[in-house]
Amino acid sequence: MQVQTILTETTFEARLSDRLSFSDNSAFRKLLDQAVASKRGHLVLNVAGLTSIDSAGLGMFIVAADTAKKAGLSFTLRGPSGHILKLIELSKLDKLIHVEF
Amino acid sequence: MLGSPRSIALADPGADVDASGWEDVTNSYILVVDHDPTSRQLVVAALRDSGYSHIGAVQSDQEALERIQLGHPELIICNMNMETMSGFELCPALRADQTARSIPILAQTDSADPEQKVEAFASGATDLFARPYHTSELLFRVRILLERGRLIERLTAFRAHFAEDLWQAAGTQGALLPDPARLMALRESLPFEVASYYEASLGLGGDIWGIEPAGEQRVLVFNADFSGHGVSAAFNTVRLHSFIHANYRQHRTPAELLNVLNQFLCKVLPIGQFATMFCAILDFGAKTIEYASAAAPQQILRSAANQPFAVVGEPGFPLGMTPEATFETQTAPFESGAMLVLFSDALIETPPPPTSVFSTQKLCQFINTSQGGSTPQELCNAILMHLFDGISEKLEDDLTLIAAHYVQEGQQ
Repeated sequence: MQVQTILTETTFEARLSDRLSFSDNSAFRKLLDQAVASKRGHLVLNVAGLTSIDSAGLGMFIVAADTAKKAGLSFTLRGPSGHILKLIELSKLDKLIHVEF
Repeated sequence: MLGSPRSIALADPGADVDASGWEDVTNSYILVVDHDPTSRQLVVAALRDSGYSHIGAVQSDQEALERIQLGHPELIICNMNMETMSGFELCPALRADQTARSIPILAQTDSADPEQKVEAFASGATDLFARPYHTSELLFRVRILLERGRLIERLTAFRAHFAEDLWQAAGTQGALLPDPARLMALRESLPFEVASYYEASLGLGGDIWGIEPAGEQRVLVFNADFSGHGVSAAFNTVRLHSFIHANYRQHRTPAELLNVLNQFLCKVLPIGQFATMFCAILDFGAKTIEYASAAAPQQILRSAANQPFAVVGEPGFPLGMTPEATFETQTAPFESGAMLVLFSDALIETPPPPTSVFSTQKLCQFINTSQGGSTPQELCNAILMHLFDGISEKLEDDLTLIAAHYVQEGQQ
């Protein structure tokens, strides 16, 4: 997983690229800690640059949405395509978290 | 045995240290190798004065190698001399010895000459101190190397113990899968033949499949995949296996089974963990298959001997994500010669997309055009051979493949 973070006045946006998988769990949780610590009202996980994810990666989206909710932030999963989009559709994840296609 | 003294010791490969953070290593066996008697005695005296009690001293590389055969020291302090070549036989010989290569060597060089330092490192020294030296510097270097050696020893022991535990746990997990004797027994009572392949990427895995009697001439076949890999995912497979054994009722439809499993897993799984699952009831009396999916990859079905294989399965919530999830049972013909091919996502995501060997569509096409033969075992072999021919790396995810076949009448 490669990450680029962009901070605006209201939003913490993490742009993920490459592959998000089991081995990224620890780095991903640190990223969420950073997002909460940034004290922005909106967390955006921009996944347009991801090429693939595994099941643990899908679980990380849920953890991100849950972390945002518990910290009082709004959450958006932005720009899924290709393999990520297929998995979101297969698992109906867009019915559980806010996905911006 | 969580919380037992043994498990705590395993979890913490550290050691007892004094107030300054140093471990007492003065009981270590140190071998001093020095061709110069005065220099040798100085080093030995410095060690003794500092509390080290188990010290050997020899004057040549050959003597040192003989002494090491009798018992490995925790540290060798060796005077490297370019003129006499002292130390330059010992270091390479130790590094080439499989059993002694990890013994640290603290090399004493005659001067601070950078060339000599490079030569000493190149021949296998772990660390250096140059004459003239301060005794305290020597003693600090000795202590650091001894502490490091003990840490490596503890970590090696921890790793070996953990590997043994994993090996045993993998055996336990393997026993959750249907055993061949049970499958043979089913084969005798039903026109039903099954072949399977299971490989956990980390020794333990998050995949589990099973077969249960589901009434007169009916069997339940399921394949589940917990998110993640390794120990935590493997624990979840045990949960699922136990729950199905304790709670499966034969009248339940696949969707009803997914519903009760979902309620159970929502209660026990932490946020972010879930399972995908495909389950089917093969009814050899009604010649139908009922199936339901919880976010499992689309699977592959041939409904009769003369039919092509086709992709089946609808989107659905994974298990353990939301208690509001509902599931639907689909019904299709399952007649003589039918075959159901179930698999976990590793089969269609290795290597990771977009370069995977198979997608579900490609797999279906492969099976339809395959020369792999007509039995479930031949089909599994052909699929696996094609997969493993197409990849160079180890599997990143757990892999399960099952082919369940309604054996044609007259072939049983």
